[in-house]
Amino acid sequence: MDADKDNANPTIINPSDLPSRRRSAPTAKRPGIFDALAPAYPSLADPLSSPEASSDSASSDEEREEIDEQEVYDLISTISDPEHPLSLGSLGVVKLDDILILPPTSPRSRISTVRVLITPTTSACSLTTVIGLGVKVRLVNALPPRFRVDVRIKEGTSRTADEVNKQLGDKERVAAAMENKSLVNVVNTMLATCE
Amino acid sequence: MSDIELYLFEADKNKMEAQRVATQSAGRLEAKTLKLIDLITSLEPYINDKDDGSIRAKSVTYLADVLSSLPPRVLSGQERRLLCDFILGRIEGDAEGIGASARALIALEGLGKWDADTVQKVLRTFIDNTHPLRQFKLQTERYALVQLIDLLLAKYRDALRQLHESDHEFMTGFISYFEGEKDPRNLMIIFSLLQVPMTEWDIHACAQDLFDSVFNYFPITFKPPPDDPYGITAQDLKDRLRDCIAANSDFAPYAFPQLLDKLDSTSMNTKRDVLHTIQACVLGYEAKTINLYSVTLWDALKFEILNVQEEDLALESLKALGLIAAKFAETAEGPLNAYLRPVIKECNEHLEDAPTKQSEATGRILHALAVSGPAVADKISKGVLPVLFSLYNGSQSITKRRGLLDVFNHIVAAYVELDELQPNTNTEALQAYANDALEAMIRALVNAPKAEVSFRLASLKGLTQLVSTRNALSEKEGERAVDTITDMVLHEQFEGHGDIRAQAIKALTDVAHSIPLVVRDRSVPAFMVELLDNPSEGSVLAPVLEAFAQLSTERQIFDTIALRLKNKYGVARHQGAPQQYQRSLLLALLYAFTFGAPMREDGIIRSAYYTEYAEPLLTDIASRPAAEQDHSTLDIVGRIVNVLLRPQGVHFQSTVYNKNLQWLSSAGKDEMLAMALAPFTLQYYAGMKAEVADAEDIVSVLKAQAHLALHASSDPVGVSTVLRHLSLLVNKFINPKTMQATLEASGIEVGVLLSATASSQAIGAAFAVVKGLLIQGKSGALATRYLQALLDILASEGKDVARHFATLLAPDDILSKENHCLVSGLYKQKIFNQSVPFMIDAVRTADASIKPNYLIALSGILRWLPYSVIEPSLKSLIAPLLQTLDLNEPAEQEVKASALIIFESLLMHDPTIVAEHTASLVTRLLNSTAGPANKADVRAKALQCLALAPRQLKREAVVPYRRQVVKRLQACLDDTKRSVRTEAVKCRTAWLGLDEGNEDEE
Amino acid sequence: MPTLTLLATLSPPCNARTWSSAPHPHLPIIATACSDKTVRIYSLQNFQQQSTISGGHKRSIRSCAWKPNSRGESVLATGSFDASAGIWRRWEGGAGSAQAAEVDFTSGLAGGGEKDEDDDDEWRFAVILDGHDSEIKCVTFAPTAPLLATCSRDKSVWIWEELEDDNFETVAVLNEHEGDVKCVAWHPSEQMLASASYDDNIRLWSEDVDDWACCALLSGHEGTVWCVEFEDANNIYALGSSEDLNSKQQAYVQTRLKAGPRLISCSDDMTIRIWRRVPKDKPEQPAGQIKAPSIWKNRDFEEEWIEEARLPQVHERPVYTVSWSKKTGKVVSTGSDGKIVVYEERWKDANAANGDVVMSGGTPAPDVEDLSAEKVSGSEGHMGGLTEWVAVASVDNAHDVFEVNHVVWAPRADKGKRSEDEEVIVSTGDDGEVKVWTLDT
Repeated sequence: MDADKDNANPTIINPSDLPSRRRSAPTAKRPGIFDALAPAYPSLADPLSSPEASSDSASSDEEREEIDEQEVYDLISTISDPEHPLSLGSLGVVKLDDILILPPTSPRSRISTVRVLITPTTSACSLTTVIGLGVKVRLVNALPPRFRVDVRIKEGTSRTADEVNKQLGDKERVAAAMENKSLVNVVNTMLATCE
Repeated sequence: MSDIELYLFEADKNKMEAQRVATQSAGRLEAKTLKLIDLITSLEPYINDKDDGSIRAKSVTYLADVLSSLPPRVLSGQERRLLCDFILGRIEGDAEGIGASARALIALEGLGKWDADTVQKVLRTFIDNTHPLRQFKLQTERYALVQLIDLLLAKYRDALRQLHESDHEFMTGFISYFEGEKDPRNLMIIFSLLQVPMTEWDIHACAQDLFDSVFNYFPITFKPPPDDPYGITAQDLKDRLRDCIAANSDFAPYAFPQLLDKLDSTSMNTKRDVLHTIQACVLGYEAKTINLYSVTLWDALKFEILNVQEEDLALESLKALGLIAAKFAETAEGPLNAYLRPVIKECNEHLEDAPTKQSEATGRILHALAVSGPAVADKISKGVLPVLFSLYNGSQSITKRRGLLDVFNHIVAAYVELDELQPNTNTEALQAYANDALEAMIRALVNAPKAEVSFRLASLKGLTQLVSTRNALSEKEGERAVDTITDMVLHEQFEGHGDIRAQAIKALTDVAHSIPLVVRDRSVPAFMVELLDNPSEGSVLAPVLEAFAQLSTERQIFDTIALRLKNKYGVARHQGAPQQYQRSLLLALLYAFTFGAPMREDGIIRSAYYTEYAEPLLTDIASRPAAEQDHSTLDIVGRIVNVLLRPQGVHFQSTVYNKNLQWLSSAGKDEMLAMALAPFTLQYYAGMKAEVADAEDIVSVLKAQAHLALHASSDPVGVSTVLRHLSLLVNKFINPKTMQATLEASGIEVGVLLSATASSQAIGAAFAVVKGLLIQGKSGALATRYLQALLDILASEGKDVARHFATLLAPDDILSKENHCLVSGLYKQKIFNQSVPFMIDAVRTADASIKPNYLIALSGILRWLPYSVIEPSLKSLIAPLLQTLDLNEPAEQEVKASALIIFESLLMHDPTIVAEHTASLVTRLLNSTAGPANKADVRAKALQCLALAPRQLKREAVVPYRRQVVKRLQACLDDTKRSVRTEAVKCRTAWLGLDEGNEDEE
Repeated sequence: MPTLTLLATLSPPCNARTWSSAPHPHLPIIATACSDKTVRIYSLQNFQQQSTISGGHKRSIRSCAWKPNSRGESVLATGSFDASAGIWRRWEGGAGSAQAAEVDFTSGLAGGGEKDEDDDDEWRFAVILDGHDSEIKCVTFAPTAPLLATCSRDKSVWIWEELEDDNFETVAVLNEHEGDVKCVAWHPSEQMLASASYDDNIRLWSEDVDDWACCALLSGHEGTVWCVEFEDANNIYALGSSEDLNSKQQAYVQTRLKAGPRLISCSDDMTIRIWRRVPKDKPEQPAGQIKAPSIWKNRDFEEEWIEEARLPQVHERPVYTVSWSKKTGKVVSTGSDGKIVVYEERWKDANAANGDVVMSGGTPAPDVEDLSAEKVSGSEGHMGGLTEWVAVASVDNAHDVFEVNHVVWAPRADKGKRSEDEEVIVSTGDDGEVKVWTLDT
């Protein structure tokens, strides 16, 4: 039944081995189990000192959490592969190490670049372009406009790499593709699994 | 006119009347005023009417009606036999009114049992003369027939079996008789009556026909009409049909091939149906039959598991595989081996390139089989484990080893489950490899790179399971397992790598359940080594302590844990260890008593704990001057006392109460000390039952607290503790009858408090009192008056009064039933009814300067109300809520947040109500997403609401805003906070997903 | 050094990406092709929207072009991703004239919204041109004949002849490109068409006897060629004007006049290149003129173009558009990096050693030296090196952080106008905004 697929039985990365922010978060920062024992309630004396107000979200509200590779990864790793009911992350199509954020080239410029290299499940994966398109569209929609999104096929992983790269790099083609109902539907089903 | 004439006359116009006529004739038969013979003769002309079939039919109906309304013993056996022959006789010649004839016979049978010949004769007559059933177009007629036959098969099995045995042709006719029936009601009966021959008779010869006659209906794809009076569902039919198919082993040769063929269907429902039926067959057919098909079944079913299409199909297939194994497990060994051989062979092949979808599936398959019985588990282990471990040792790839461990864990899991069902299952086969496994997993946990999370998690899981599999491990081995896990818990405190440490703690508590003594004798001491008596400031023992406390969830070692903590606290305190550390130890103790598994006596936590743990702490406090009292320590001690004291009976509590009365009341007189002790006393009084305390004392306590509330100058936290104490006293101890007087006496009568120059303390106190009253709901009038007073000052006072309204309904763990407080079921509703409409009005009329007061107060009330309470008045609430979103002072963020929460539920449950405000809502939500004016949680919530709009509101209502929203949300994608950005992405996706229509192509 | 100053942002902006803008041949208005399937017409006098064209296309409008010399009635062609091109007509009559502008002014403030309805009916959807199999990327009218060129992702270039009003006939379908054709541009004085493609090449097409064929293949770019444009027929600009040119320089001017308008191109490879025809040695025949067929014909038909120069590389990402000022010969470019850059051509400073001038980042084209150049009359090659291109002004983040899809020179028409033929630069971006810039020296 899988005969028609390029790679019927890909190796699957176990979810707990996938890079995640929580995974690399310092244990210390997480709230201890004792915190729940003495819960804070809005004080009768001074209603403003309610838990929310005093919670760190407020205090640290100003300090900025930069958009980093992990965040980009989280945006695209949950996209599902068009031929397996699996996420691009678990298939290793997108890898944290293959995501690179390039800062603005000059102090005057405010434009950063996100470069994502995707690794098709097999060198013959006919759906590479679609996958690439999905990743590109997801990032273009989910990242602030100051980011330029370059999605490319990792060297030596696909015969059609150059062709695909050129297509994904062509803003006009991507724009047109996103006005093509049938293509949009394919992409949407891939992105449906994204949080 | 004779009855029959009357009947025929009425039959078409007025069924009821006709029925009555029949009943009347029946009555006359019974009263002997009418002779049966005359009745029959009166029928003659009509029942034999040459030209009009309907007349004949109706006259039979008449006869049926009469008979069915006859009581027993009116007709003699003789007469009944005559009637029977009469009816059967005319069936041979005339099929008109066949349904009625059937009914008549049913009625007759009801009047007296039949002998074998009659039964056989009846059935024969029908089969021979009315074959096939489908010739009768009226469902009701066929219905009567199948009812009759069903009746016969139900009551006269032997008679009919003889019929079958004496005449081999009979069955053929019988089977084909029902061919082509489509009506669900009739089918329900046919399916069930067919089960008699299917299960009880030797139908080997005609098995195929019999099978086909029912399998033709498979799969059932019938949709009951919306107003089906008989309420027959497709499921009912499926179930009966399934029973038929599974009824007789002789069906196997026809059933399995056809079922497996249908398993390739593209319809998930059909597949589902097939799998259920296969399960039924496996259960229904004899083992020796299943034996013939076991391998074929495996070959077909495995695909559903190896390439999952729908999870539930995979589960059903697994179940089926398990059932097959179970079938053999009970009986012969040969078939079992025959069945398992190919399974094990293939599974072992899949292990080769683990981890893959296939190898994961393999794990599930082996588990499903192994749980079906110890014998099976044994063979599985013998067949798979050798390969599994040689592969494991033969490979260096961690990923591969993890894949293999996963499979192993599945097998062990099966043993654990078996052991729960029937203790002392034979685990030899497992034992043979238990040590290899143990070593492998310990190595994984100790040596594997910490980044290999899944590998180590798998090992941890395996270890836990091995330990909990009875006598899989030797005692020594068990100890090694415990040591390893304990070591992880204690020393894996570096950052990152998932929650493996949390998993380790969980594992340790699980292990503690199976081998408590080992944990007690090995883990606990290890922990104690880590928990220094007097650690340096800032050394992080919290994680260790947390882990240790969590062990208390295992009852068998609870006391050890609690005792160790207590002693450690004693030492730490004695050596003057850092406050923070002492506090953590107390917290750990509190955790143990709150979430752990302390011993109970008839459901109540042992009072001994109070004496052993709470009392010493309490005396210690009593012995210290104000200066030495530490606020947060007192809070924790207070909570320990509270949790141990409050479940105890009045008698026990009274002793405690009187013991402490003296020092407490003297302390109450010393303002400094009273203020310092506040956190403790609050919890202490919260734990006491009302009847324990003496009214006099309480009043003085109230006075003391009131004094503190109004005069003591203290940090907000201290003050709020005192205020909560006020609410508590008012709610629980003060006699409602004398409430106002008592309040006046204590100087906290609300009217007075709010008089002209109300200080902020006074206002605080007022709200505290009102809160106590409102929740109690005993002194209704007073509460109402006071609440109104609070509402009234909104017009004059500043925002801070308005903000206090948020405290009225704010949850408070002190004012709870557990603390023996009076909590009226309706208080929220009451407060809502009194305050909300009032404020909605005020918002409308008030002038701009004080409008915010009402908005703030309003949301202060609303934010704690369950949606169900708000729902009825949503319409009128929308306007004020929208205005709330315009409040832009930083202080108003909470207010905004709660308004947004309401909009969220609004959009969820009653989008129609917001629909007309779409424009203003969308704009305001967009404005609320902008930082830094809005706090992160407000921005996030606003985005969540905005994301609901396109899903919940009508397309045409939102589409006009699409491009605008999508564009403005670009800014949110760059929010400073990650959490907000995440929401922004979801929200934008939702709006982008809006189809703008006008796509008339493709 | 000159600076680019934002003069105005046309309002109201579009809520979605805007692709390109085309100034009207003689009215002070500009048409912007938007991805929301509309074309917006803005006044360059008060910078308010005058009208929108909508309802004709099912997908993005990628490009639009005005028909030249159409007095009395404005004719606009639109090319869309829906694979069709549309022709729209509207009576002139104040669309751009002063008093109407005043009316616009107020209503413009009132917000384009209401204005649209009244005006839409003035735009008449005249005819739809079907034929391409996929997205049309560019449409453009010929200055010298009633011809319209369209190009598409289907790799083809179509030439349509307007026989009489609204009756367009396909006169050529040119299929030699191996990838999307991104842009087509007409020669200002000859019947010659240039096309730029996804296949990294530029092709020149002209009429050979009576059918159109490719007369030159310009390859060299290492990425999609996004845009091509010819310079004005008078292609000397400042270079010629200045007195006391030395002999070399005069010779060079002569060659340039002989060669005729040059072609400029920009590409995904981030370079901007200038191409020049290599004049034939024998007495010059005006190209495209029909001679008696002879076996030599082809030799005459085929032309040789060389890459004459590269502009200093300022852009850090693909360059989407270059525009060549008809008045000053200055060039403006923009692209994915959101920069707008202005360049001008100068005589190399005679004193400066082998022509690297401080301000110049420009590299003389490699093949200036190669044989193809050598065999041509005169020491052409060295002359090629006589001028240099210099980036004279640039602005970053011209459209905030968004990509800029298009820039074009347009006559300045607002009250602030400083001289008769002052020009402004109009840029069109992904943020849906169209901005007007002045170049201040």
